Amino acid sequence: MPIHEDDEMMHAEEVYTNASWRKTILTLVLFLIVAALGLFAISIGASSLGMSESIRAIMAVFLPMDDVSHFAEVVVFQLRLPRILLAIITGVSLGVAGAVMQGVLRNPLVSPFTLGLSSGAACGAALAIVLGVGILGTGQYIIMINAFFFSLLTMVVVYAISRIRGASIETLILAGVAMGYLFSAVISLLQYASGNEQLREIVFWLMGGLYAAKIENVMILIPIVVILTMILMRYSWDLNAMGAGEEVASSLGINVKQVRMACLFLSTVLTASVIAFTGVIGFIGLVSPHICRLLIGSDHRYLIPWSGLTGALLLLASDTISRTMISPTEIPVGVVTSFLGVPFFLYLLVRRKRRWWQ
Amino acid sequence: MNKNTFIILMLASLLALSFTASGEAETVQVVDASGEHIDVPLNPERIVVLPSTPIEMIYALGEGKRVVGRGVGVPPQCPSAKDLPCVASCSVGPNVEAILDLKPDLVLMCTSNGSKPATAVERLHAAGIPVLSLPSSCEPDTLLPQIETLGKILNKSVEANEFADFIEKYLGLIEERTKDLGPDEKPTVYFECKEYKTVNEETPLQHHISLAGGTNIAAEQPVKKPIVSSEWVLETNPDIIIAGAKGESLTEETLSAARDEIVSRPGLKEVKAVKDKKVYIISKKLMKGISEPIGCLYFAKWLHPDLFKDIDPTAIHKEFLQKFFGQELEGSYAYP
Repeated sequence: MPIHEDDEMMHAEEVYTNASWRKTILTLVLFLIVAALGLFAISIGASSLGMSESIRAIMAVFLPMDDVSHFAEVVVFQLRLPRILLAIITGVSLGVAGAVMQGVLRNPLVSPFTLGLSSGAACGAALAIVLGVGILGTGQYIIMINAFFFSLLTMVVVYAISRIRGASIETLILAGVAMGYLFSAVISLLQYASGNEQLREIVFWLMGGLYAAKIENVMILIPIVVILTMILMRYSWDLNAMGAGEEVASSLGINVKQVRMACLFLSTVLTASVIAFTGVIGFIGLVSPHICRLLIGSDHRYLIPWSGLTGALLLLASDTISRTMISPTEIPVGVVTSFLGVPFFLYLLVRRKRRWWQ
Repeated sequence: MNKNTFIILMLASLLALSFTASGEAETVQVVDASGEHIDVPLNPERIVVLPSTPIEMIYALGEGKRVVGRGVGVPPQCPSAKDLPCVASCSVGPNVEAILDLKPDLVLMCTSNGSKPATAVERLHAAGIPVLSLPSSCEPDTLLPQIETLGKILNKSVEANEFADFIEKYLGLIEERTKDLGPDEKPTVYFECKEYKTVNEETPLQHHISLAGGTNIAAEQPVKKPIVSSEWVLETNPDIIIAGAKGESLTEETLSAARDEIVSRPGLKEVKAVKDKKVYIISKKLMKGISEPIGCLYFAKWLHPDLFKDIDPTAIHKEFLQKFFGQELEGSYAYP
């Protein structure tokens, strides 16, 4: 009998190792798909610069090629590249933050949106627009900084409220939802009180978009997003344990409250920093963790990177459509994201029979 | 008994007479936004004016004191209008109760945008307040008829004509000099409201650009104020870039900073307009309402400096403010 058990043990270990390997490879494949889509996205656009010429311009970086026009270089490297990188980095951070927040709060409806972070950021931006912005250009940073801090502030308040009530998950989510409503009310009030010009600018911010991507901003965001994602991935085991319930996690030696606080704050910083540059981009933070949970299960070691990559894929695809569909006019990216993501998500929901949310 | 009846009858008829006399204020017939002829009171003492352009016009006619309430926008030429009670908001439209509270003899509003003003008009009519709907203040072609209408209502036709002449003179002058330009002689213009947000042919700015003898590169876009792709602007390679700057009191520094931002943008550095140093910034105040013709003069001068050598838009703006508003030109409106 014991020998038999041992055998089974061996077998299980083998199955586990195989599954892990498969998932690791799949993660790599997904990464390659994102890279391929990025390459595709960089080669299409509103100008007449075709795919072959764009690819030559990219190849010219690695190989000596002298027949690449200056125009191609400018379009590919100064206009398309920053935007594509911003789409990827934004998608990654929203996806990762969504997966972590859903994991840590064990609730399928949680996203930066439901926790009031987006409303907080939007409220900060609206305040800057109505009360503080002078002219074109220079006022831009006031809006970003305001958006960032209001987003953080929201999380601080939400967390503080939940601490008063013993830090239960429900209180935290409800406090987030309530704060979201409060900020929406402030935004409505500001919209109500503002003039035409400002109103338009607030609406603009609420729609979000990547068209104003600048390479400097992307360079600020890349280290933030990469480092925070790596730190958050280190919490994967804790999140997995917490998925089985707080008591289980505690009995396994996890300081549940501390992990929860750390994860929430790190993912808030993650979303707040990208939202500050792009405006409110909804839906991705909510849906890409779900899509991934349906596809590869809820092991956070894979779920977090997958969710990030899926977010990147979704946002990059949407943005590419938004800038090429009726070019040169652009369609707001949020519109495309929902049109693209919702049917796909619903399809997965209907097709998968098993209960996917544990 | 007979005598008493007679007295009562007398009193009653007198009373009736006095009622009709007071109720029958003088009216004047004007044309409203929808082209209908309607009667409005002549010489109204208390007017609530929701759009900002007619406020400017009434001030220019020297009758600013009759305006007792305003909408959201405060026209820059009428600083004293700022203190008037604001009885409408952008998002909810006119506040009928607040308007009634001001006991106006006439309400001027702009019914072209949305259903909210229309509901307010119905309610004001029900309350017996005459309402004149004016064309949306963004339409340049409607400026002159509006001035004429207001001159009629306020019994200031002479002043209204003088004002209209001033505007007509310069708009006519621009048209005269640019109308014979061939398509090749018209520079391509990229107008920017905000980073990569431009205007199509359905906006008033299209009028400015084509009046000034230019071609709007985004004229045919499907959205009124579309965001356009940066690489498309780069490829279209416009001859001239004009950007609108908003703000209460703009200085030369703020305008020049806005210009620096544009010329240093990666996608625009290589554009002909930037290379030829033909990037201009204009205050949004000169693109709406009564100051529109001044904005058109700047556009014309920038697009065709040779044709408008003798024209100094700043000097004309100065004259315009002094003559009709008794004000000095302060701050910067255009750069360089």
